[in-house]
Amino acid sequence: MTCSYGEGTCQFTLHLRTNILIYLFSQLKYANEVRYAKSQFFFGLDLDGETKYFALALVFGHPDKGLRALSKNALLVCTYDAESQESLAIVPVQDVISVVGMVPFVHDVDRDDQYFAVEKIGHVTGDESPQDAPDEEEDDQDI
Amino acid sequence: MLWLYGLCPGLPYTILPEKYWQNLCQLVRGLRLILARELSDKDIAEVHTHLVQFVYDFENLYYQRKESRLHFVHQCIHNLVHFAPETIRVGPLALVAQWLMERTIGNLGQEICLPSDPYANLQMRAELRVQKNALKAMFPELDRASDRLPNHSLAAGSGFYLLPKKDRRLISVRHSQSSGVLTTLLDYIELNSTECSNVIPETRNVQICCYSRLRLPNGQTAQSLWGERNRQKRI
Repeated sequence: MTCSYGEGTCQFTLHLRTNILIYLFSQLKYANEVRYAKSQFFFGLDLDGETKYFALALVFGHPDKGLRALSKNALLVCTYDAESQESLAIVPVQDVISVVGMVPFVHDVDRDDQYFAVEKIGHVTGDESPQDAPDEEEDDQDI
Repeated sequence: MLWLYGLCPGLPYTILPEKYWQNLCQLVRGLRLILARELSDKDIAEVHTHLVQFVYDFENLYYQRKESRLHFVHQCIHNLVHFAPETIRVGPLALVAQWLMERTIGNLGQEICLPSDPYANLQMRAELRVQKNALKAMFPELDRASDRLPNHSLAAGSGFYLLPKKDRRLISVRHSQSSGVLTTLLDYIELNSTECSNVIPETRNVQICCYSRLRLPNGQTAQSLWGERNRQKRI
């Protein structure tokens, strides 16, 4: 099944197969958090006499806290900056959790870098990422 | 299911009035969790909270507790409040749901090849399938379809497999081509290797061998941008 969604600059095509949700995007563990990422390629590398296997991935930002709370964890909207070198990461393949879809979130006309996650039914793991992700503006006072 | 439980929270946002959208999100969140194959006590408690709240809001928003609109509340709406207690009683509902049987009836029906006596043919197809499944359960080594991998696949440990397309040459990640990739790679090696001088040559070019796909232990296959670009070029 193939369907197109979006207009203008937000062209995006979902390739839905019988047992694979979407193709390029993965949910993985990165810096002790569950994050979404776009795989560039997979490769093997000899480190200290042992071949290890990695994914080179562009990691999405943390989910938008406001929308996440408003939707009761049903809508995880992440920003994606393909140009940023900081979002480029090397992750051991064993840290890839599942394949997900990242669909353009087109409700803010000023932005075209937002995507929301669609996970295969039965593979819901997006709630594992901490809701209280590092936020520099918050005080540390817990009462 | 994908449209409702996958895409619906994102697509109608700002189109639906907020109270209706939030009501939908309660349903989506509850059902996404309840359809998982494994659930913790915390998950079941969260499911119950969301689904009971969804049903309560549904009654307020749509039929507004008017007797004349009672037919709005279908059995499937009321049934949601029983999902969490039933999960505690019989286990994850996705594993005992009716659709498994319906699917089996559907694909057995597709196998019918004898229009003159379809029911006898259906019975024989079902009997053959049951015999095959019994053999696979008794002798798992006979079930070769489940672990079949493409040629040139490579085991990466812990049930992960790298799948072709594989680049036959070793790719040299050069400064001029993609300095970001090289920098990230060198940083990672320096952080994670005790003998990084052996890995990183003086030219500071690292050679790697690329694969386009990764098979996960859960049966999904992750594709990569590099593999998809190659495929588009061939098309």
